[in-house]
Amino acid sequence: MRISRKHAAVAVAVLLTLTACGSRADSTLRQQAARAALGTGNGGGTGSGTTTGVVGGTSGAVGTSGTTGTGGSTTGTGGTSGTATGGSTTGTGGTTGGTGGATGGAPAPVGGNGGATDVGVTADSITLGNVADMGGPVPGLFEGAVIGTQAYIAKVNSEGGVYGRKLKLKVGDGQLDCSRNRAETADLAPKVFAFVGSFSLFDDCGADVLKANPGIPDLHGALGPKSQALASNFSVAPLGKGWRTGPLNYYKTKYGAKFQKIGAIYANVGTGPSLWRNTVSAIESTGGKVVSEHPYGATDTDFTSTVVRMRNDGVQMIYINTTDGATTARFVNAARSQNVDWPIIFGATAYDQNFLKQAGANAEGVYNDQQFAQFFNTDDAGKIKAVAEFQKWTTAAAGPKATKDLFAAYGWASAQLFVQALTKAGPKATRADVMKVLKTVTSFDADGLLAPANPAGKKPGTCWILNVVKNGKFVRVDTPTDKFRCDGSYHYAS
Amino acid sequence: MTTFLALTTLGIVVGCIYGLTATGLVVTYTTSGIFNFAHGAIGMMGAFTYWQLSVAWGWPVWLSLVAVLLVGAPVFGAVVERVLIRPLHGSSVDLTIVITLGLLLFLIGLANVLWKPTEARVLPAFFAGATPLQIGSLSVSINQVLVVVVAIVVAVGLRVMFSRTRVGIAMRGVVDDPDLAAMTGVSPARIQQLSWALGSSLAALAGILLAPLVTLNILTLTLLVINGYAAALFGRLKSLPRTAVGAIILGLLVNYAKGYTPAGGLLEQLQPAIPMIFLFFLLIWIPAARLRTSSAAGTAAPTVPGLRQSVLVGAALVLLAVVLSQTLSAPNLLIGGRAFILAITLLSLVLLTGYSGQVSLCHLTFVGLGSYAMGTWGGGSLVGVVFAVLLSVLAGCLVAAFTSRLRGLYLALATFAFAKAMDEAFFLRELGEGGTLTVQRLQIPGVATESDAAYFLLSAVIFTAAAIGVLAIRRGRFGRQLTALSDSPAACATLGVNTNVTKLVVFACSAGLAGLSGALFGGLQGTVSALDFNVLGSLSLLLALRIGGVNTITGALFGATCFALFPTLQSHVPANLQLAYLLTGLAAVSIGRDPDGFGGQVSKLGARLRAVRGTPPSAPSPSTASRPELEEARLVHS
Repeated sequence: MRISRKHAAVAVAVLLTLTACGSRADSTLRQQAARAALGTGNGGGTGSGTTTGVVGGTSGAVGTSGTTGTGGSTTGTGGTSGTATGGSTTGTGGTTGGTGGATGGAPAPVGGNGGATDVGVTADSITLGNVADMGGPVPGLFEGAVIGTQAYIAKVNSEGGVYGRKLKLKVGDGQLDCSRNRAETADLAPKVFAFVGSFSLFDDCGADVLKANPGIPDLHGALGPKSQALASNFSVAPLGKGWRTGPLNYYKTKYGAKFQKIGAIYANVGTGPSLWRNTVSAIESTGGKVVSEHPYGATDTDFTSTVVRMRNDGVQMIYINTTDGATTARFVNAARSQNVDWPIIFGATAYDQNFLKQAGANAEGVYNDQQFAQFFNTDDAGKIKAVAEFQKWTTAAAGPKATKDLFAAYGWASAQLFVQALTKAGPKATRADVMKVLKTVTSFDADGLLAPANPAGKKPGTCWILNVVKNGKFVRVDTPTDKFRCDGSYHYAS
Repeated sequence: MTTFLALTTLGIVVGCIYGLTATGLVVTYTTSGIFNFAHGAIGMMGAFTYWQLSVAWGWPVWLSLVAVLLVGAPVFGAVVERVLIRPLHGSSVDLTIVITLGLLLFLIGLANVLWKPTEARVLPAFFAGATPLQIGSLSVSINQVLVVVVAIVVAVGLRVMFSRTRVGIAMRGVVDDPDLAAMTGVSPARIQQLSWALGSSLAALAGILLAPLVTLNILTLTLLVINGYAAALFGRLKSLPRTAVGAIILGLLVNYAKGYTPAGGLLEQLQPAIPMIFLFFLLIWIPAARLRTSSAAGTAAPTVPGLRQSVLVGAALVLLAVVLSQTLSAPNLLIGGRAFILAITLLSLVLLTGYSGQVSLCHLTFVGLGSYAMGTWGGGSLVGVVFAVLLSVLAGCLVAAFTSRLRGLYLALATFAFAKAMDEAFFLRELGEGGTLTVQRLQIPGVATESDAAYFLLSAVIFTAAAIGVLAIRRGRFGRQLTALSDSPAACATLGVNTNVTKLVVFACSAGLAGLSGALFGGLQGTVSALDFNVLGSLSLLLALRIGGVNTITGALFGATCFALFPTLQSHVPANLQLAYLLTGLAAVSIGRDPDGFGGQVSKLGARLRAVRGTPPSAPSPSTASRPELEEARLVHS
């Protein structure tokens, strides 16, 4: 029988639908993909006596992952040099491993680890969930969040896991879509012990699910107001309704009268306008003034006319903190093409390899202040162990071209915070036990990868570093080579 | 004065960018009558291919240019014409939109697979080392000068070609009267293919020239052409010199607005929407005599079920929903709920596009207004639903009133401009602090609707009721007026039907239904943002409806189900993050071969079964006659 074109066309549409209706049990595909990326399969390291470090300090900084535990049979006692930071110093936490590593490839604790203590837990594994925007209109947008989380999990598993249990990660793709985020969160909620390292522009949609399941620990950089308000959410870099004043005071001193003639662009989408208003409030609180500010949209592809306008408005300095790397590059290129000699300062999102690539020589001399170490530079990797580990394990997890962006750093740090809380909660930890520990973590810095912040109190950090682009790479300037500056406060906009 | 000179110079440069992108659009439209929504995507592919050859593989610039502009792009354009465009001869406007939109989605998906978008790529500017031109205080790069020069050369060259060369004259001849042109030995098909090859090359040329200025980014380059629509319409889609003038005017307007609008005011809010506002009012002011008209309905009008049959099938659907609500998991209930709510949105398009032949590319705007009303004033109450419907109806009436004399492509572009302007000036600014708005779920006194299962069921019930209502409209007097409006507004008017009022009412009904779905949609998600109501989403809605069948209830439900399920399919195939795009594009392209879609096939199957059983159609009516039958009737009466 001859099949007509019309029938073939309908068959394609039906086939697509039937395929889409396929069993959801197929989610193992995602697990396989994650394992493939990690290169770990189902096995897990045999361990060599090294162990997961344990929590150091009790009221402030969480001690770092130790690395030299001897594989004892009980819970380690914690890093020896963990210190509370109070937001004023380096806040690096402990650096020495616990003395009695619980796992490290060694058997589970005497008396066992409690087996299936809670959802997603078995005697030999703990399953975690992560919902990040990867597909959709901008594929790969936040895949770094998954890679960073997987990288830290791979590191922990290579050290034997936690109390005889290997960590597994189930990944849901939010696809930059509210409904997908909610559906993926709802799908994973009854299967995972905790959500770790998620990153989505629509995390508020999943927040409704988490609100209905308040017992599930959620460790991710919350963006939406609903997500931020969740009692179960612990962000390694909480957002505040304001801006840090340390860098602003620095610019005021350095640039004098120019600080009264600030020009800016801000993203006219999502949290862009409100974030910028908070920043303006902080600028004004430190004696600065914004004289020319301009929203930009998705179809604004050239900023030359904006630069002309700024010049007309008497701008003498640029301070922008809501733009992505590509937009930053476009603005810098436009400004440099018009030969303006203003100091140009960008926020954290400009610390991006793509920015350096797209701005090229125009990036030279551009400043940026940020609340994390230079996680893709070799300089910091040589001085800060956490940066070196982050680079090593993201490469191991996803190959040499692995995305080492801010979202990967957040994923890594979120996983680290979780592991430390899990370890402290003990071998028979339940979700409630881990949540209880997390609520005591008032200062966390991922061993210096991030500026210290207060996950339990949902308070942003105040420490920062200043970079300048020099010879095609970011270089620390007027900042300690292996620490953060903590010479400011946090201004809350009214 | 210095600033004015700088902004004027920049306005001319930007205008030339718009002009360059619009020129290709005009060339393909004048020869094929099809407005190519994929024009920007073709340019994007050209730019990326050029980058691949010249940067990644290190080919010489001249060889890369030859390979892309004289070989790759024209061949691609010719293939597109042969495979996709030629079979569309005589098709409705919305179908041609869907096909080119499908091509656009496919090309975006393909590009994302070939060139990972998170990796930055730099396309060096032409003459990057040369000293920039200094005009007053403004520094103009040689690449920018090149854009201006090329835009002028292309405009003049095409003008000469169309008026002085045999091929150009043949192209114009084919546009005016293909049959007459064929009698002179010209092959209309070949000429059309040639024009698509030329249009494709022009798109690639624009992409290659513009990529160094706006960065080599898939979405940026694809969407860049949108601003060129206004320039193309200024030239009435056929005059290249007028297109160039329109482009320059638009470039100047955009740059003066950036340079002089006061900060923080309403004008600054409207600034990003200027090209679309320009386009909207341009369409309204284009002389009526210049407007072409064509129908948007499906090629065959299916049998309309009677009230009894509608209620029975509706009851069966609700029963099925009851069973599903008790068996589906929470995530699947969300997906199912989304499918039913989208189906209500598509029902509103069935009413407007399927029955009355009016194309709308702004229906997600109505949905968004419904969500906004429910989230801002409704609080999940029934009063909120009333607000949602009323606000959308008001917007629908405004659109209908402004576009009362527009049909076909022009109506489509006007609604597109309205949606884009609302996107830029309203949704991006007004959807709450942080760009999101919390929307409560609809609460009916005495009925628990908070759970996912209950909300799923509620959505199914409302869809069923809406579907029965739409079918009732279709069977009634107003439904016949809509069919008449779709078939021939002129004939409709001679029969005493006020077409403007009919159009206003159907737009209002359709927008109201979309607003209702918006109130439900917001509640389903709990949170909405501007991205949910993006204008490209409205294009995708039309695509989903075409996949399902533009004038059937079955088609609305099927299309909505596909639309809701594609992202789920994507989540099962993490290795290919663009699967949904690729498949959606392919489905749209394939549906071009079967304009009646899935719903049409179901209807035909039903008709065949009845024929085998020897029973007549359940609800015969004059309005169910297919277009050929109507054509035949007209011939008889003439």
